[in-house]
Formats: sequence, structure tokens, C-alpha cells
Amino acid sequence: MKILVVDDVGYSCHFHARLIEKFGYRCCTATTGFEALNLLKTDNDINIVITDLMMRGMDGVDLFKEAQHLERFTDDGPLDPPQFILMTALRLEKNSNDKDVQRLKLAQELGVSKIMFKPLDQGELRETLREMVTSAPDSLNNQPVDLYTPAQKIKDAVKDIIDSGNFGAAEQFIECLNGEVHHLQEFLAKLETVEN
Amino acid sequence: MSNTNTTNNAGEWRLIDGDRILDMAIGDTEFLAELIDLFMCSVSEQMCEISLAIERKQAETLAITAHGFKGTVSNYTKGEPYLLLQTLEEDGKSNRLQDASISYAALENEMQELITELNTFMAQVSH
Repeated sequence: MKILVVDDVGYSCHFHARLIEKFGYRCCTATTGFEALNLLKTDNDINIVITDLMMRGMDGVDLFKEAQHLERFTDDGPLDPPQFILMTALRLEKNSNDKDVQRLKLAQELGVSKIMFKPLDQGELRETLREMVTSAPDSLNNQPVDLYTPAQKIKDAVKDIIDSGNFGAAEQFIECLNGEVHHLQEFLAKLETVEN
Repeated sequence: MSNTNTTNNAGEWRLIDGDRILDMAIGDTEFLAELIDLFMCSVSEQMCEISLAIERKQAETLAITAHGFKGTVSNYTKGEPYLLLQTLEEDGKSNRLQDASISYAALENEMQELITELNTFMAQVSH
């Protein structure tokens, strides 16, 4: 799972990417809509996009529309389009005839997952990301894993060591298993951090 | 028009909201220092883009650059620099550039003050 931050203002792009990393997520960045589309085409791990609305060239709404038509596949089948958070420094209540406010209204009508106003409320951003990650399709968030085969191999290896009476091999195998248990514990701790 | 007094008699900042800025960096002063450094580095480039747009009478470019910079500045202040950028953005959108140079000159002074306040604030929170 990876989050793509898109903003043509370098400071804003860097700030939001670093903030999201601080929340515990993996992140990548693009400074144009076109660059973002290329990343979406090549990186199937991206399933959330946080983009600015007003950008030179392709704006956030056009990026959203283009992303809906991207065909992305994994070995398990087609991927859903990424979820979108649209950021803007505009205010809806002002200048309702303003071209950019019209774009913002269009984004709402098109079904952008969330619109957030700059400066972003960090609590709201953290909560929105948590909800999006939780509601991500199972194919991305909770891929089925074959546990029977490796578990059986471990059991066979333990039986072989015991049958051979090899003390050193038993110690080495225990050390190896402890290392892997530690990795799993780190993984679970990281997941808990993200969810909290 | 430079004003070296960044705080009023009550010790409050004229432009920035210290608590909000710390919140922005989720209370992490090292992260805040990184963000403020990056902001300082980006100021001259963004000011230059606005100045060029005014000089070349490129209204649409002025609207886009002022809007982008406004988003950045809004992380630190909703005071005069933010309001001046909003004015410049609206000048660009409505293609009324006759007063843009005056707003830009005021913005230069206000940005200088914002930078001074941020430097002072960082010195305080770093100790």
C-alpha cells in the first residue's frame, strides 16, 4: 500500500509527503498530473492519491478522471482505481462563478473520495487515510497467503533435526525461527501504529 | 517599512500562530525545522515567479503562482502575507494588474517579517 502525493508547488508536495510518512505510510510524489499518471501506470502498490486541485497542465480533476480509465492488473486480476483526496486552498462559499470553484464542484459531482482545504487539518487527514486504508479492497489490504505449505516444511525440518540428534542444527534453527518471529512482531507493531 | 518587533506587548506574534505551527509539525521540532528551512528556500523562487508574472503582465500565471504560494503560506499565517497573495490571485483572475505592483511591494515587506518571526520562533522552540 502506497500513497501518491501530487502538487506542482515543491514545498507543498514535500511537506505533505513527509507528513504522511510520519503517519507511518509509504509515500511517493509527483509534481505534475502527467507524472502522477505515469507512476500510477507503473506502480500497482499505489491505491490512494492526494492531489492538489489547481496545477499547471493537468489539474487534479483531470488527473482523477484519467485515473478512472487506467487499466491496472496484478497476478490476482484487475485493480480498482485509486481513491482520491483533492486538496485546495479555494473556498467553496466564495466566488461561485470562479472557474476553479466550478472545477471543485465538478470534482464533488464526479465522486472524488474526499475534498480537503489547505492548510490541511492533520487529525482529519490521518483519520481519512486510516478509513481509506481500512476500506481498501481485500486484494490489496489482505491478500490470501498459503500458510499450510511453509508450516508443513517447518514441521518436517524440526522432525529431521530431532531424528538426526544434531544439537548445533537445533540451535541454529531456533535462532532462525526467533529472527522470523521478530520480523512478524515488527510488522504487527507497524500495522497497529498505522491503525491508531 | 521593516518592523523588527515581531511580538506585541502581550508577547503574541503579529503574523504567526505558534501553537498551530507546532501542530502542523505534529509537535516534532526537528520536523518543524526541516519544514521551515524548506519554506525559506522556496520563498525567493515563488516571489520571483510572481514578480515576473506582474512584470510580463501574465494575468493567468499570476493567478496560478499566487494561489500556489498562498497555499504554502497558509501553513504559517492567515495574516497580511496570506491576504496580499489572495489579492494578487484575484487580480490575476480578473485581469486587473494595475495595482499588482503595489501589492507585490507590500508582500515583499510582509514576507520579510514572516521570515523574521519564523526564525525567532524556531530559536525559541529549539531551546
